[in-house]
Amino acid sequence: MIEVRGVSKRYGPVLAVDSFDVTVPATARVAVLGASGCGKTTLLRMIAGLDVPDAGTVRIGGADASAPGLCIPPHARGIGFVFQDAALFPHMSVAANVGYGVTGPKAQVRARVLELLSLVGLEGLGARYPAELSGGQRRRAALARALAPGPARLLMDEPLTNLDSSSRDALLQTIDALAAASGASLLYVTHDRGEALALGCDVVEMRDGRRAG
Amino acid sequence: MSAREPWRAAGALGIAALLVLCVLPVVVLLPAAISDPAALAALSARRLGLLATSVRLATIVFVADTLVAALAVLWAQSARPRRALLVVAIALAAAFVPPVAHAAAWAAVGEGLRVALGLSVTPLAGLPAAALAQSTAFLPLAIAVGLAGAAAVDPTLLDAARVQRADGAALRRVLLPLALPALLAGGAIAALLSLGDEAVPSAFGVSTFAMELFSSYAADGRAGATLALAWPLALVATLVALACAVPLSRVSDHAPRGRRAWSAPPVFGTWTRVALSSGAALAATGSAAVFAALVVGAWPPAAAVRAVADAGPDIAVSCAVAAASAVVACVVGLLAGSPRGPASGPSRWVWGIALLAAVVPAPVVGAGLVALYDNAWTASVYDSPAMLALAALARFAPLAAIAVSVSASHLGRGALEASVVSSPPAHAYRRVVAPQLLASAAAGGLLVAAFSAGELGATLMVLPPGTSTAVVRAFNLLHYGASEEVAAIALAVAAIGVAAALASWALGRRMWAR
Repeated sequence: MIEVRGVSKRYGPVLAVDSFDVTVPATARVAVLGASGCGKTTLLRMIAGLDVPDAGTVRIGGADASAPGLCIPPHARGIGFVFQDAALFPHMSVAANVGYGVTGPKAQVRARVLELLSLVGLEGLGARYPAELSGGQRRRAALARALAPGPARLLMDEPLTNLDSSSRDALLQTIDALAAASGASLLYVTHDRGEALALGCDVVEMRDGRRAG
Repeated sequence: MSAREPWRAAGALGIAALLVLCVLPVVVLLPAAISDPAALAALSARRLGLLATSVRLATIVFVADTLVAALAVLWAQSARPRRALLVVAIALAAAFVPPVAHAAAWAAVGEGLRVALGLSVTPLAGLPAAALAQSTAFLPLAIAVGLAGAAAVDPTLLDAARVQRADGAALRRVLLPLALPALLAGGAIAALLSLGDEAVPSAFGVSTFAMELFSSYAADGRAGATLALAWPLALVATLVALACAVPLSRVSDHAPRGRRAWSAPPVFGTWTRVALSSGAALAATGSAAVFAALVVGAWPPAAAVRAVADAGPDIAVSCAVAAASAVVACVVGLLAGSPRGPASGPSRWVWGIALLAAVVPAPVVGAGLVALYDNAWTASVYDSPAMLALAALARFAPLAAIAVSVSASHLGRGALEASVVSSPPAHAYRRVVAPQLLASAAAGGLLVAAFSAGELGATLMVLPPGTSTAVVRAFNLLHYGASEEVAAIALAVAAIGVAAALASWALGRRMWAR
């Protein structure tokens, strides 16, 4: 479960997020919907611990993750994060990217990587480098990397941006299937209501950093 | 003018200027060098020993500067901005102290240690002392190149790593490997400078191959033979330069401007914290120790003022040479390093010429300039201080072109295409291309100015009668044991350099704000 209560974030004169509340129950799917620049990405980054809120609290799995005087490091929050531009490590192969967050014996890591590559439809491409993948393949690799450690919560920041329609539809189906199979709760940020509805998300609208409606 | 390459003429003009400035002085020696087979083959056991000393020195400098720069750069990426700025500024300030003054400073530190510890001889002598002085002299450049490389790493990649693994793992597995090419290149450039430097080793009584070249030319004045003798050093330098060019070409730059690498402060383990802080402390204290030794050496202030006043004309010549070199290098760099068209990158010629300038030892450049300009037609140039600027430009002008070239490779193709679609090429170049490259050209020019002010190897050979520079004066004084005057001159040169850098920075900020 993710509980966000009254979080705010200011960058200089710009109030990016203003006293925002949202709750994502365990195994539920919630989409934060809003126009570009309304503060969606900042909200996700605060939940992930990549930015520190100026005010408010973020609770993850029933424990405080961000609160005044407290910021649990991102890797200790049990989340997977799919970034808008995939953010694959360019100096690592696809397999190394997917296995980055997986710990344990090498054979176990390798098996997990192969499993994930298969699930996202990238079998046989593990040895390639990100620069050798198409846009859609990069997003699939990023999805595999986020899921590989088996997070209980999945955060996605407009993962379908700049994809052609057929790639979008295919990836949307993959996300739907994998999110269901993993049992992770999903917080999905988008400006496209159609994506949110296709994933069966509860929709929370955001406008100028605030919860709308 | 081709439609695909509307700015080809500007680029060709810049390349031609670089060829005249940097390549011609070497090419002019080739016929004499080829016709001197005895010099080509004269790699005696003594010269092999000198080459080995040069290589040993350069290797120590490479290892020390790469390691310290890497730790300092990674520390600066994760420290609080103001603290990082302060430490980096202290470390970089040492760039404005000429290398020969670094030697004077460390010699003074050694003498102080000898007295304090009651030793019979100074603990800072010979090769280790020369390596220490060269390391502190060239460390700022390694740090600057490393900082540029680390800043080019997309912070989103670190975000992606931090979500899954601890910050220490993100540092080791993402930030360090991506910044490593630039860090290695910075160390390799320091090693190149070490290979060509004769002043610092000679201050500690260490004979190197670069000094041998200078002595050889001074003994018989055969410029062609000097080039022929230089091939072993040039070969080693070429290998080092190629080793640094390959990683440099892999430096990526997709980082959004204005974002820090670590959005939220990172949490490292104790050992990582200690290692990074040690690197930053070494970089800052090395620079601070040099300045402190120079201040103590120049004390009392009245004597320092007198020494600076005596050296006034030489300091003025150095400033004029540095300023002239910077301006010429900036203009030539802007032309040579610019893209030839929206879809074409900067010319490979720039990298080739830079490689040649980096690997040709300074005494050979000096000998080439003498051979080129010592004739009836160019007597007025040969007898003037312009030779000093030509010597500096022959060695360092490609730096500005490289800075522009790297910056040009990150220009948005779409914007460049839009500029030539809606206006004539010259207008598009002036309004769209040049303004985006001006900052890197200025930074390159500043770098050229700093190096020109400290140039000695080629300067010694082209110095017109009755003219001297601050560094030549300091070099001569150092060999007479007048370390107080050397310290005062070095501090004056450094103060002028820091003031020029600050003024350029303020000017740049004002231009960007517009």
